[in-house]
Amino acid sequence: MINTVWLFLMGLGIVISILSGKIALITPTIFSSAEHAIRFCIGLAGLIGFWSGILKIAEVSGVNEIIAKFFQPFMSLLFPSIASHNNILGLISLTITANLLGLGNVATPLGLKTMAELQKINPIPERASDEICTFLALVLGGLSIIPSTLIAVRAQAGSKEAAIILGPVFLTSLVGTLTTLVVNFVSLKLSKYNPKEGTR
Amino acid sequence: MINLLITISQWAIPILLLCILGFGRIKKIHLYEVFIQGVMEGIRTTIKLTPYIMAIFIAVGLFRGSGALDFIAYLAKPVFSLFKISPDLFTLGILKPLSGSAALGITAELLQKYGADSTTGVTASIIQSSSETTLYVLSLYLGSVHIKDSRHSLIMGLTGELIAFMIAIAIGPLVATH
Repeated sequence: MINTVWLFLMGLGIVISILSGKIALITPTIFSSAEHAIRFCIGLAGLIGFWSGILKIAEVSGVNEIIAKFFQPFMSLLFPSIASHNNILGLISLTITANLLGLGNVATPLGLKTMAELQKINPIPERASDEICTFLALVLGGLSIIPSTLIAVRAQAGSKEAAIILGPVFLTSLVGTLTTLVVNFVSLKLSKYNPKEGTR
Repeated sequence: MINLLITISQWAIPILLLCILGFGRIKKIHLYEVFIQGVMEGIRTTIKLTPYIMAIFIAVGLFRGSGALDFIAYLAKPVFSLFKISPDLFTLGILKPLSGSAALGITAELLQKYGADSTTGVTASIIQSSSETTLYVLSLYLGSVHIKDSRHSLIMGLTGELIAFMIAIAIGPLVATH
């Protein structure tokens, strides 16, 4: 599936630039994007490095389990099969909370740590487990209470009511999250009847 | 109310840090050693992620730089004009699942061009912050643990984005007139 999307973006990009006579642009665009990616990763390494260190302390000292207890009613509804893995449930709760509060910088390291822990209990490592799919549904739904970056951008653009979008964003992201959860729920149910599905 | 929310988001991280460190101290953990060990794991994760990030950046760079994005927006223009919706919003909707930073750039441009409190400006704002960057998140999250079979996750994310986009288009004008 991701293969197709990637091929589509690359292929269409190259074909269009040939047709529109921008063929000379292809090589510099590729090189500048590749360089940009490496720069981005260096920044990301700092961010992920720091938060992985802090999260390791949280994991070893059991903070994650306390957080998990706090979110227990909600989590046991979404992740009934891993109800005993409090460390993971705590990490999932933290990731979603970081996203809710618009803390994108923290949400990525948290999400990656959660994925690593979920992968440890994944029976088929090459394939996303049911729990991983549900976690992705929560993240991709993009539920948001405080879109802090956007409010700043709006204020900068001269908005008189920079925060007017708070309510609508919450509503829209709530429906978006319900959508991903429903799609996930239905797909998981369907795959039970057809366990050999392969949608790469 | 708004200030309260923003204060919460500013205080959340420092307080979380204090709690984690304090709790680790109470539990008599070797804070420094454990921190170093965690950082090491984190940096290893990032190195594993680099190829995935590069693949996305190059694809999105080519897709935008070649004019393919503008071309698709041009094809969709008649449909959007029919509903009196700015075609620029379509460009944003296409870019949103691919790259968060590129989409934010477009949103900032639209806010300048149409005004932050205009219908288009408000709609763009809602599109920008009410969904996740599906392709980026998926390749990062799945890539970091080497999962090849993503099952229904891409369809799921894109469906969520599509629904959020349509709601934003529908409620944007209502919010802007207030």
